[in-house]
Amino acid sequence: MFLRTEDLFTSFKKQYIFKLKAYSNLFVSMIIFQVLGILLSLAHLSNMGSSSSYYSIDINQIFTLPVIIVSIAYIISVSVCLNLNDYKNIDFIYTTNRLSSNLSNIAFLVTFILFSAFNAALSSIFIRIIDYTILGSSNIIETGFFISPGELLCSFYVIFLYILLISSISYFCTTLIQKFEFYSLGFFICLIVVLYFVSLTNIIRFYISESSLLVFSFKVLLTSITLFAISSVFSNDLEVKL
Amino acid sequence: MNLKLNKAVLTVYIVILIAGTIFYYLIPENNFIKTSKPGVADFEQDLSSLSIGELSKKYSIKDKIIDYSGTNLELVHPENARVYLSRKDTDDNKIEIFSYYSLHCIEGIDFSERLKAPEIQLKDNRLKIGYQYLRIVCTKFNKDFSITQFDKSKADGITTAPSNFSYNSDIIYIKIPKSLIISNDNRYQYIKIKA
Repeated sequence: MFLRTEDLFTSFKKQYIFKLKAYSNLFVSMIIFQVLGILLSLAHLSNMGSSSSYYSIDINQIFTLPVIIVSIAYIISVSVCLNLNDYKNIDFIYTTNRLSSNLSNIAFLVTFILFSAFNAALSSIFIRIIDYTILGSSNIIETGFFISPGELLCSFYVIFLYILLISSISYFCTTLIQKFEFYSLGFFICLIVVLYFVSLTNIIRFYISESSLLVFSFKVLLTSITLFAISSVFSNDLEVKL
Repeated sequence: MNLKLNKAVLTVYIVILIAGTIFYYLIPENNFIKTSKPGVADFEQDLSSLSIGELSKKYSIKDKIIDYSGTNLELVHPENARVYLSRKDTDDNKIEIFSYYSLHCIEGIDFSERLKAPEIQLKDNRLKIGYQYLRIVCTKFNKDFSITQFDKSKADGITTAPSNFSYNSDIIYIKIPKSLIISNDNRYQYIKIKA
């Protein structure tokens, strides 16, 4: 029993601000991971070329994908950690319930994803600048080097959506494991069987083969909101800390 | 203190990224390796219709003039180079050699202009033409899936590159004095390019 009552929004707001401050280390860690991703991109992991008796041409190909991959990997671990008991118990510093705790978690995740997506999109530009500074324009192929502001904005938005989708899936899975602790092994066996019949590639293709940004946004947002909502409902049933 | 330090790190990192982005949009587009060049079909057509001056504007061309007063000459050159001869109207004791580089295209990028002029040696009535070895290393950026997934041109299967890889043998055009005898001239085709 608490000495005073607080409405849901006030409670959510306090927890959200508290989490932003308490987990500020996560933002710095994300930067470290993204810098590693930038270094991986600069490592020229792929090349192609042609040669004859009087010339050889080597083309080093640079992909900015490593930055996005490390960002996604780190976000998955953050989504899982936020749902662990040690992290959840921090919420009880304030007057709280499971719903406000979940909402603040989701709001924190969305903020963190926005930050990561913004940095990942700008990192692709930063990688280009580093190579431009080192190699000079005469050694860089124009095609693919220049990204219009519209493409950059699109890149930021799409990275945000992809990370949001993966984050909601990992958050949902962690909630399920916590709720059905004793049945989690059975649950994952069922999940693997279902995925085998539905075919995982079909599910992935449902998102990655979509060429309309509007439809893609709708698919991702609908899936993420649904998964977060189910996670909130499930975790509402978890035991209350006294 | 820790929070302040974290805020400082985040601020510095974001400022670097934003400043980098501003700098990026100020980079001039010239000097980069470009893609558009005519293909070999146009080149063959142009060879018979354009003048040397016009060809040099449109294609990568290297030329050299050698003094030669002998009556016989043997030509030695790389097998993959097509050699065309042209007999001048006068005996000016000068051999003019023009090397045209046609399409050397990889991933839609034409490297023809970077190829060096061939090495030419004249010794014992033998004109030896050999290409200088050239090594080109360059960098290509690939736009990631967050851009290409919604790129209509890629979705429709349209690419701006003419082909993934194409290479055409080079052409050497030699103008010889009127009376000069080429010892193995049955191998060559005589043409006339406008002066």
